[in-house]
Amino acid sequence: MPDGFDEFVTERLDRLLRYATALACDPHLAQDIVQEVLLRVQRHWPKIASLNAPDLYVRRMVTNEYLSWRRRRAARDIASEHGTLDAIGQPTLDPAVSYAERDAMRARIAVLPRKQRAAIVLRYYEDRTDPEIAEVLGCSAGTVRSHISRALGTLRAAVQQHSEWTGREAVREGSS
Amino acid sequence: MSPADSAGMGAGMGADPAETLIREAVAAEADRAPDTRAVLAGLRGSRARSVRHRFPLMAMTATVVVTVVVTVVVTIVCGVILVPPLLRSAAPAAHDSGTPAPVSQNVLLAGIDDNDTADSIVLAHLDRDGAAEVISLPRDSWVNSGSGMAKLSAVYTTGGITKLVSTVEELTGVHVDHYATVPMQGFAQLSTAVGGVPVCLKAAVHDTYSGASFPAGRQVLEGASALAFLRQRHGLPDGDLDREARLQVFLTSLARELLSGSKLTDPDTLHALLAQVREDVTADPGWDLVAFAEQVIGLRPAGLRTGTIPITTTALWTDTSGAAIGVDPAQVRAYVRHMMDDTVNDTAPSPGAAAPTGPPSPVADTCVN
Repeated sequence: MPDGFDEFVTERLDRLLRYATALACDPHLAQDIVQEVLLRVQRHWPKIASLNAPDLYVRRMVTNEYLSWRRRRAARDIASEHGTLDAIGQPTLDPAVSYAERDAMRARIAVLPRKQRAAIVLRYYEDRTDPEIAEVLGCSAGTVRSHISRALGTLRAAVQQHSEWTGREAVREGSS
Repeated sequence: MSPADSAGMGAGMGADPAETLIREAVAAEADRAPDTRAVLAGLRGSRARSVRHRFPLMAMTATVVVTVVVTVVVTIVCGVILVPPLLRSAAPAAHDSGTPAPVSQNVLLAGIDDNDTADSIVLAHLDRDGAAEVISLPRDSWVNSGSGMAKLSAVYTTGGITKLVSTVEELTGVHVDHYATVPMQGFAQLSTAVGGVPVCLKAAVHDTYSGASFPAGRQVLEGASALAFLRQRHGLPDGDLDREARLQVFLTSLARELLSGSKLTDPDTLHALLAQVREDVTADPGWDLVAFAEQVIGLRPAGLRTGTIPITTTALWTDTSGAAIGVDPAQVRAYVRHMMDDTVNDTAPSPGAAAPTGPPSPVADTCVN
């Protein structure tokens, strides 16, 4: 194995897998993607290691790999995820309502357009800056902002609907 | 990676319930991440398990399945053709007389029909240890040729073998060490030498363009009738697709006859014909064909794996070239990498039948249009 590659993997693999899983919403796919990418990284390690931010570059490779995998599967997955959304998106009076809400949000994130989803994961999981996200997605910072604001628009609207529901339930409960 | 960076969001952290919820949701999703050990094991070579679900069984048309079979046949037939007579008659001596040790190499073989179209395109990876992976690339695959999208077969017609090589390299992500083109017509001539090639027709045909005039059912073809059988495309339900299917059953049947030698009445004629076909084979100048032929002959039957690149659709409509076969380069690359990974091959339970697209079916016995 090339010099330094082992350390890179030891240090970054866990985080990389988590990133890929959040991105793909599919642990198996995430594993495949990360594996594919690391095999490529291994082959070109001297070149990648000499870059300013090898970590960011590998993030970009993982993201690209995901975006290209996703293209074929999108139709089928979204169909099944809509099913999930319906199943877990119904407001309930479950004591673990926060879990239900979180899972409903997960389902909503899972059906975002893929670049919006990638931007959301990079922002809210990786805590990346706009320019960093732009580099990973291969677009401008302005496009990143537009991805994120659109995604937030969609997700906020969903939350609002949800809290109106739960709010009504709460009022009814309180008055009875 | 500093969390403070996200303050540039415009919305205060924590103050916005939606953002908090998004953070929690994304983190929960990330928590489903697989164990790092699985990936580490994969990086060390035993990738078989994780690779499996990456190639879900895809809907395959009969044409594509047939293509799987022809890959083996073309390789075997090419191997047989390429073996110089000297090597065939005095094989043991040739082994020790300075022939370089077999090397691992990637070879692109293209069968060319009489319209100068690449009819059958095969990428073969020969391992040092006598194993080989033979991957078929459907001729109608819709690929990036470097100067726009095109069918693989057309890439050859317009750009020649060098363009086909670079296109296949780009598509599969592997370096092609050597290439050869083989005229399909030569195969028809070989049919005579083996005492005829059995085929089966679903229906009787009469076609004045090609001179094909055959009854329905099983029959043995040779020489001119074999040529007519291979040329006919008019008056068939699926036109060129039927012709392709005919070529494939014919080659499979021919390979069987060649290898069994059961009806081989005149070895001298066969050798003469092989020599003739060999003259029409065009290979890249740097290729040691003797060493290659030897390597093909030395293949372990159990080490031979075949497959077809994953396809996304068999009915991709293109504005410029009609219906084509859709392929996703990322999938193709992953598939080819997987197929050519030596460690996987060595651990495969039954390498002969390990092709993800299923074991070759007895296509030679299949009746065609």
